[in-house]
Amino acid sequence: MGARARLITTSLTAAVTVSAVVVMADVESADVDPLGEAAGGIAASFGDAWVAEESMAAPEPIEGHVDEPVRATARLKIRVSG
Amino acid sequence: MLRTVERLAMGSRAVVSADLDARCIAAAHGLIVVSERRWSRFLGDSVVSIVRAATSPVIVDEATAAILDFAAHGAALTDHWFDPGLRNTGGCLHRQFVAASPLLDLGGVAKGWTADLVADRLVTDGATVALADIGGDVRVRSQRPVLVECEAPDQRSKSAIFAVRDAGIAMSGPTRQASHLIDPSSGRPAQARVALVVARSAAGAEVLATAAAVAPLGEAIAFLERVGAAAWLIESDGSTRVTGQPDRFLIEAGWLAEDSTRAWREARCPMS
Repeated sequence: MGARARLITTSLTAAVTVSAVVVMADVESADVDPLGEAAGGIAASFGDAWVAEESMAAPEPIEGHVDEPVRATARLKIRVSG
Repeated sequence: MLRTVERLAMGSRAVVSADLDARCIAAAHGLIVVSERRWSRFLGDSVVSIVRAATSPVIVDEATAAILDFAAHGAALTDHWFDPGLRNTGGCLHRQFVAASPLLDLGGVAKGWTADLVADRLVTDGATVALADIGGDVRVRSQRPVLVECEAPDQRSKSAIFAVRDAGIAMSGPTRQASHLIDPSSGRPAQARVALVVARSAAGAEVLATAAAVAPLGEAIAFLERVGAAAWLIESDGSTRVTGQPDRFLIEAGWLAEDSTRAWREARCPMS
């Protein structure tokens, strides 16, 4: 697993040649990219400027009394490493 | 029954919780592993490392192109106080073509983005309660309220607790020991404040928290208000500014306690 790269050469015009490194995520023997598949709509849509801005807006709050909350274990804390 | 699996991934503690069987939870954790292999700058064969080392434009996979475009939008929306190090600040040059960018670092935004992907995957698999917490970048998608605990920066004060159904939450800033944030305007360690953001996605919250931790206060307030985020900005002297009514999401104030919001919280008080 990991990324692999290969060099390709693309002719843009007869006079100009541009070399580009092609990076392709290696998803082992599967033809389906798990990240791309998981992304479904969101990866594609989050790449859109308007949707990116929407994703930063505050969500809808829970109105009124909070009944039977799920006590999940998410724990926000400041990271030291990036 | 809520099933929770915690592992180390992306250099952090990664927690996945959902009302699904173990196989689905494992598959969701697998996404985090794939994400790390692709977007970590610490792995020499990751896509990010290849873009950093390249000397000419790079063609990347669709998922990477999407997160790069998102990061570029995040930079623009925060007036570039969030800086992923993309040489072309507009994102991809064309479709999946990316400019060689020796300073590219998706760091926190990859954690938030992956938390969003994991939560979406869990819901697609049938979860009614889904939570992903990757190193403190949290995404919740649930039909019932989920309580998220937020430790104080000094790790001694009482935690704050949020109640959300569909939200991303992230916090950024200096610890008591050190600041890991770089001021993009100077390239030096930032004189940062603590920024705690509640948004519709973990990736969005992460971008805003990182930018708001280092931007001048007026600019931080400006871009937070522009996108409509809810946030606390806490200076080193303890003074606090809020924007977007973040107390709407608080269930227990803990270290975020403010007299002005106490009455509102006491009216709900589900923790007692």
